[in-house]
Amino acid sequence: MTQLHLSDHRGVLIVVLAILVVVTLLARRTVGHPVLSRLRAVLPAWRFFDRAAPSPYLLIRWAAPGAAFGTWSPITGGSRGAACWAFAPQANLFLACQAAIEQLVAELADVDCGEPVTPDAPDTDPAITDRVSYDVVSRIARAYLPVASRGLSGIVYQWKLVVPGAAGHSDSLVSVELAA
Amino acid sequence: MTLGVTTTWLARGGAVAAAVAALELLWVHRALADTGVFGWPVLRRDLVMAPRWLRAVADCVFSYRGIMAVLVIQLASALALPWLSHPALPWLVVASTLLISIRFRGTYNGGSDAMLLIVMVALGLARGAPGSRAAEAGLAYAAVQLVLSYFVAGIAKLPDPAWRSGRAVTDLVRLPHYRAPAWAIAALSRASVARTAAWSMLAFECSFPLAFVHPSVCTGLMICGVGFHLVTAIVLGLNRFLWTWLTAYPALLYWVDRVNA
Repeated sequence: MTQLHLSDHRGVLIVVLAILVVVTLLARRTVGHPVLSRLRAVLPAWRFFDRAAPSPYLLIRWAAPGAAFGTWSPITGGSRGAACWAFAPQANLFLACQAAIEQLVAELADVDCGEPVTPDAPDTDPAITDRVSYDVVSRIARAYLPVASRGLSGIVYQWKLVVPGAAGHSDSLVSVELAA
Repeated sequence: MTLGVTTTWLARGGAVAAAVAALELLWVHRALADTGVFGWPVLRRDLVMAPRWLRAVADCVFSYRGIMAVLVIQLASALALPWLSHPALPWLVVASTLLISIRFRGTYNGGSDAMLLIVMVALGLARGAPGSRAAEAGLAYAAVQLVLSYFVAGIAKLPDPAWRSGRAVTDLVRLPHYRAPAWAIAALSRASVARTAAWSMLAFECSFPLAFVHPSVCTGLMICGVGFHLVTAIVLGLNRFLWTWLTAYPALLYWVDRVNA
């Protein structure tokens, strides 16, 4: 097999390295364009845990027909198996769901959500509820409804997206009532 | 390390990484069904402004049946990688990984999808033109991206007081979506352990470019890297990062040998 001399293309390598450094640093900026954001895998930002901040999380509650809603409870992905260090389909699906939740939060950063009338008043602004990310989060909430709710007909559910902020203050978004 | 040996190890590692990625999604296929969490009838609304032909193609490829076919192609290509040296195989993995990432509105598993793409592009170039400059450039691309992945991540954490104090590590393992084991949360809730873990990680990530100094330094850093990825796989469940990052290591070893020859 032919071995090329390093000196043949040392300059090219340096240029490639410099371009990659610049592209990587540029890729760390938040990409708002819908087409470019779909190509994030091609331009990796290598953004791993660089913001040590609490993540947004999803709470759900449900009600049988004619009954009042129960209490809010966080969605849980279940226990991790012993082989999760090698093969973790459910855990990675749960991480993908978390990424979808964070995407909705990122999208809503540019939307004026206003102050809710009451703490659990649903937000019905079409600028929020018409979003694809909103529907994805609704489906996540439905997928992680407690076992006790499954098999019952006519149940409804709601989700609450909580975004922890500084000094214990947190923002939240409550969905409309949804059919399970 | 010769180009041939490097390519062989890239193929073996890439086979495991790509097969695990495909199998995991096939395992949770209900989430991709029309009524599932990531059902195409919802996601396709992103394309409402796209040309009609593009929507038609997307409906074909990203529908439940379409994406199942993509996953089966990825799995079959991955399993064939170590046994068949046909250059089309890594490019099939590239195409399928890219399609899956696009369907998930960017990535399914964050950086692991990106690293899998990088490794498979390197392997595709190496197999497409063995011994050529393109083959070496592909390996250089993978090696540089590997170094950048650690270095950029480390440099970005360094200014954050939460990382320097170790508090970030404690906060990280307590994030509910990682579902870290109780023993890990208990251990990393101790300030001294968290600070030691944080500084070990920062030192490892920020010093990774030193791999180019000498092959023995590179080997030492890679051993640390294996430990780092094993720990993050066990504690945070980031299993795909273990497979994809270790797959890229032969590309770096090859170039470190070349630079120091």
